[in-house]
Amino acid sequence: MHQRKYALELISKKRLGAAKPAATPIGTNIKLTTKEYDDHVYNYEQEVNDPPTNIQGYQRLLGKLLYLTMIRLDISYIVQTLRKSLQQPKKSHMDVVVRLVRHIKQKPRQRVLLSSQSNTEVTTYSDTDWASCLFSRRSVTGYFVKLGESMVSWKSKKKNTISRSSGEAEYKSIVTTIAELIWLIGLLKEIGVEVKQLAKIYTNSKSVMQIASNPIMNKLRKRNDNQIVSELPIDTIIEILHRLPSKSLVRFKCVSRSWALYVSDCRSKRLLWSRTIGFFYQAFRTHAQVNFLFTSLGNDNNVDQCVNFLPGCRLYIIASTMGFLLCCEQEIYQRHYYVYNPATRQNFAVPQVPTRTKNVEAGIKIPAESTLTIESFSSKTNPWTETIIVLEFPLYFQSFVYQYSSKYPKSGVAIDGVFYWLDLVRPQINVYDSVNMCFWSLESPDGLSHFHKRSIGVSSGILCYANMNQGLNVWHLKSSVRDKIARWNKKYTRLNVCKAVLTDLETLGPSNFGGYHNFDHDMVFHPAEPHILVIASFKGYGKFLMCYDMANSSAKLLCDFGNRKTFTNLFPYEWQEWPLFL
Amino acid sequence: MVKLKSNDDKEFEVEEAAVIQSEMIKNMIEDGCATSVIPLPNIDSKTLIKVIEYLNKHINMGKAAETGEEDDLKEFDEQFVNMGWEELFDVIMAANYLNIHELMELCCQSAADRLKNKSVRAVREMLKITNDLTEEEEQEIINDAPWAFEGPEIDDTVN
Repeated sequence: MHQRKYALELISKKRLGAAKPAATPIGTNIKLTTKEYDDHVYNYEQEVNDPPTNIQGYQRLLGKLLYLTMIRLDISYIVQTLRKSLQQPKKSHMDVVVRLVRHIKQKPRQRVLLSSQSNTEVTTYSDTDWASCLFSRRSVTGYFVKLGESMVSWKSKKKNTISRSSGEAEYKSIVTTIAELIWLIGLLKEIGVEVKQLAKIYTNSKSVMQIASNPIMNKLRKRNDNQIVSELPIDTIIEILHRLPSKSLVRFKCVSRSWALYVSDCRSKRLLWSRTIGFFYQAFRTHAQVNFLFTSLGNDNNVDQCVNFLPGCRLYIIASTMGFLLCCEQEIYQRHYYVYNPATRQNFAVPQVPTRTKNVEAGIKIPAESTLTIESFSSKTNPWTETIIVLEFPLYFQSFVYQYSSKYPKSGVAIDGVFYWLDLVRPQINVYDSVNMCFWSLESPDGLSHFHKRSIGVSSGILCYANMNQGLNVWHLKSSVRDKIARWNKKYTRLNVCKAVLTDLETLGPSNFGGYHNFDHDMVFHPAEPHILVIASFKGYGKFLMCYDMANSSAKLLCDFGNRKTFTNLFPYEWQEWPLFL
Repeated sequence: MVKLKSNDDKEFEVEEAAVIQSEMIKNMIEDGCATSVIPLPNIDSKTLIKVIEYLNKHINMGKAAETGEEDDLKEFDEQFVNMGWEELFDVIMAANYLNIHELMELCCQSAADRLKNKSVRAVREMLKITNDLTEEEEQEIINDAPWAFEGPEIDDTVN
């Protein structure tokens, strides 16, 4: 269907038969203004350059062009724009009209194809030019509807209302399109054409697509078999990917473009952790969630919640070192052990402990008495190895643990393959060198035994020892890790810890603490800064976590648990550079 | 009792104790806007039945731990997530919408476990993702981290 004759007549009437055809209907960035607008925004120069033009000629020409929009989709936008200035046309308008006629000359036979082999699939395309009308700041919307291969309806129209954002304008444009669509489908039904498929609407605005695909809005959504995952919100996909170990994560970058983006999102988050230091703690019940608490350098809220899970939620942590956690799953007759890397989400099941005694502490099982069998597990050698060492002194490890510490025994700490435990009865630290397979004990610097609260920890590679005896005393081990005789360096003596902590509690903490206080709960060293001690304690019935800086005797409330949860031991943790694999 | 309505207009009655595991409905009840039927416009009845089954089983999580029903619950969870991908994603969407933390956790973990050792090809096939990367781009990713693409555990089967 075409209007060649009409177009040619139009051209000859305008005496543009010899004019050069224009490839495009309108020059880019031409903003037409009305007379009214010019009067308002007075511009002398513009008035001189842009005088009023022959009104009859303009109106006649536009009337002809208006008829032509019945069949010419490409000129409908310009005709729509020009119509606004019918009353007081200016030279600039006339210029555009002339150019338009020259464009028509380019292809006077331009037509609408009504395909003979057509299906009943309805497709629409819509777009908006936001606030394109300079005078009223209203948006212009355009759409066209295709039935199968043929174009059946199109329009370019200035909106009646003002949209405040381009998204709003685009969304309104879709509404207009849908109104047309509904009318058209009704018409089709009336003339007996059945539209079986859903109508498709194409738009170029991402925000509109998101608004439109909001699951709350479209109740009668049809499942498209080809896109299971894309229906999930991106957050959820990332949530799932977060639970994958790094190796899988890196591999899945290859799945598709969008997945590559999600993966790099997950990875950059994990990289962020590498400078994070914090503490894991766990509520008493074994199925309770593991929590990670940050004391890191300044940015406390930077790490996402996904850290807070272990594979299978019935695990509890028993040790933490080198960026790994040693976790234990308790079953009735046996325990399973896992090594878990929270940064890479990898876990590794430690093979079953060969003997019947099932306590593993930082990879080592300890029965008492004078001959000691140490079974150790190393990821290098893989199977459990048994080392029998005849001890020259008795060791006390078990039973006391349950009375003085929390439910699960605290494991030793390790530096460079050497493990240290506090002897639970005598004033000494028991040492096992897993490289040279020998056992000895170090004198503790204070001579205090299990009646006092003591704690050892590793902070920036130094073995630290602290006790709570009329105030806080802290020593650092001066001799090298494999020396059989210990030399201690007394670093801090702080008599008024309780006072500092309490004053701080009064200013920072809530007032529901009772008068009674006790600092016996747990005490760990900050993994990177040896002068910071984290004290878990309770006062009255409230449980809280304090960070005590020994260098300047100041305390800071890290976390207040209130009466809700009891926690087991704290595990200092330093995120290692990523990726660190098992 | 609280009444829930799925998007295909079927109504379900659920005990309040069960349904308040959903943060969303809990808030609604607290604000007093759950007096009549709660419409859930983006959950179909098939998924809603699944979710209610889960909620009913998990009513007394704390109690279960004390009475030694923990294993029972664990077994139930294992059975529960034993479903097809589409169904699983429906449940995830529902859990996300209703804000049921534990269910979300369970399903996402299950999805991650299924994906964990799969090869790229298997993942694409399972989740029906079309590969829009060019061969060069793909090769580049592989060259960046060849260790991620080799290993005995990588599973190429689709199930």
